[in-house]
Amino acid sequence: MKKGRVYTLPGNNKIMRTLNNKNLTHLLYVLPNLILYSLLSIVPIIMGLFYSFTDWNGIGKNFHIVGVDNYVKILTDKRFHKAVLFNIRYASMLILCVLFISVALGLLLNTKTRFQNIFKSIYFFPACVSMLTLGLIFNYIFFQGVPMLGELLDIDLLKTNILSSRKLAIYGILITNVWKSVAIPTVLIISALQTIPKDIIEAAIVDGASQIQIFFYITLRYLFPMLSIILVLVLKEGLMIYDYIMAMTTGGPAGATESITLSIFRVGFEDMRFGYAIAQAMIVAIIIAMISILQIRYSDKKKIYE
Amino acid sequence: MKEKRLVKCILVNIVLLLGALFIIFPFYLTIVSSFKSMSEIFSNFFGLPKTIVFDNFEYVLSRPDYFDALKNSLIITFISVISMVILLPMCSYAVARRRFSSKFYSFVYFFMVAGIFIPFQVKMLPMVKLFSKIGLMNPIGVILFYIANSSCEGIFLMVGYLASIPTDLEEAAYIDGATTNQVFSMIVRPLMKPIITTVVIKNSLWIWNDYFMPSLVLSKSNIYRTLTLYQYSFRSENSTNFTIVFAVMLLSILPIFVAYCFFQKQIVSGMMEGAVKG
Repeated sequence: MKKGRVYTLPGNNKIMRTLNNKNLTHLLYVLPNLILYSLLSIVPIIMGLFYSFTDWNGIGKNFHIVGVDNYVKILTDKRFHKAVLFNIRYASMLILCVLFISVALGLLLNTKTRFQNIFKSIYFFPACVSMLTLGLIFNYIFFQGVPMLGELLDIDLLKTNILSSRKLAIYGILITNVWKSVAIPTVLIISALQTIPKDIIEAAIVDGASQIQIFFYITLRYLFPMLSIILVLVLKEGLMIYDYIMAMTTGGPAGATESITLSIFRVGFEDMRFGYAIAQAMIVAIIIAMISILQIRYSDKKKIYE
Repeated sequence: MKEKRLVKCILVNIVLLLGALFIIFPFYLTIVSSFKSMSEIFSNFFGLPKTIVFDNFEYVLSRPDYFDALKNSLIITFISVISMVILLPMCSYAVARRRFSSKFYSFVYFFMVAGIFIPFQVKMLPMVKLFSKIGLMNPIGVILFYIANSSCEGIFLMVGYLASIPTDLEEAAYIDGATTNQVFSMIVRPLMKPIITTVVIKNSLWIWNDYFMPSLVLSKSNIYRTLTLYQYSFRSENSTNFTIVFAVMLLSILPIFVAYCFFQKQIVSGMMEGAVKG
């Protein structure tokens, strides 16, 4: 990184004027974003931090400061624990599926074939479509299409709508999410695969290494930095999931697919426990912030590899 | 050896083709269903429509709702992204060139980049309260939020990019007597084009497809509905009428599909970079 130099040639009025002018211009450049960001990001957080220590219902004028009561309550709140468990289960399955499929697809798409580019554009398109639209479309597929297919092929498991089953609804959401979320990791894997020097693989082949050995000892090593980035990205996505659930199950059946975000939203606006909901949000924020810090660390590591 | 390679190639293509069919299937279903009549969809869910029916599109397009929502989405996305294109490079330029010599700018940098670590959930409840208090429960509020929220990542990306651009040209221009504005708009900005494209693509797709923020701020009245909100409420109102819902879905995917056909390369690389560095 290069430091911006400041020119102070004594006795040159023109440059001095530019210099003074420069300070003001730079300040004006920064101000719009700085003001907007402080007003719309920092102020709500400070407000939230304050309300998380109150019992405000979100509408009334009166509220009491209850100290850390809200945070203590969270420790024994079954609904919140259930939502957290749902998200952890969901995020870990999402990570496994996305990592596995995107590596497989990346390897396949990296083999030079005539149709490679067409396949690439097909596989990437889901990344551009809104989660809500996809959720609504898949909702119909599970509601109408899959049961019809089940009747046709006479498979009992497929005959019912899995979204209305308490046990299986999570998998319906997961399939939709994986279907869309594999796109970007796949492209990332392909770009990482292309950084592997060809001579290393050729040397391994000369030394008699099998394809499997090459994959585990060479390819995977080179993919590792990228895999860790993808892991963090998908983990965040899994922990923040909201749109698919709204489109497919709205948290049901019987709260089986209520995610943390949805639960916070409902506790705050529907149960009128605004202060308490914000306290929950604060805890989630701390967890996600820690994950993001990990992400930055990994990206820094990636730079060393390059 | 040659035969083995050919077999491998065919196998790879078959697997990829199966995957591609799996990806295409929901879109295929959306398209064929939206051209079917309600009576046909139950007897023929997967196949091509026996008689192509345009009633669904007629029904949707004869009402102003779809076009209103499309217009709202376009306006919100366009104004937010244009403001980002104007504001973010300016802010990043000042920060990138001053943050090592001035405490203020180095503070601004860390203050804003710290925003990347703050998830939306923690802001959402107080923000809705704040917005309703100061009368921002409308598209202006949403646009301001998007600009503010994109600042953190945008400035992080752009400052990083500017660090790799040598300052020699700028210095030469200053010595020749150019003002800061001239240096920025005639030298630095054009050099920032690749990173601006990345930020534009990532944010326009995010804003266009966003459901969460509009559902919090704009769902109170119908006039401000964005495309995602429109889809959601249309589905709830017509939940038994699959075919017209599919027509709405198709009409909502269409703008993105057209954009994807024209800018595929930029979109893929923009989203890739945005994902890794953001």
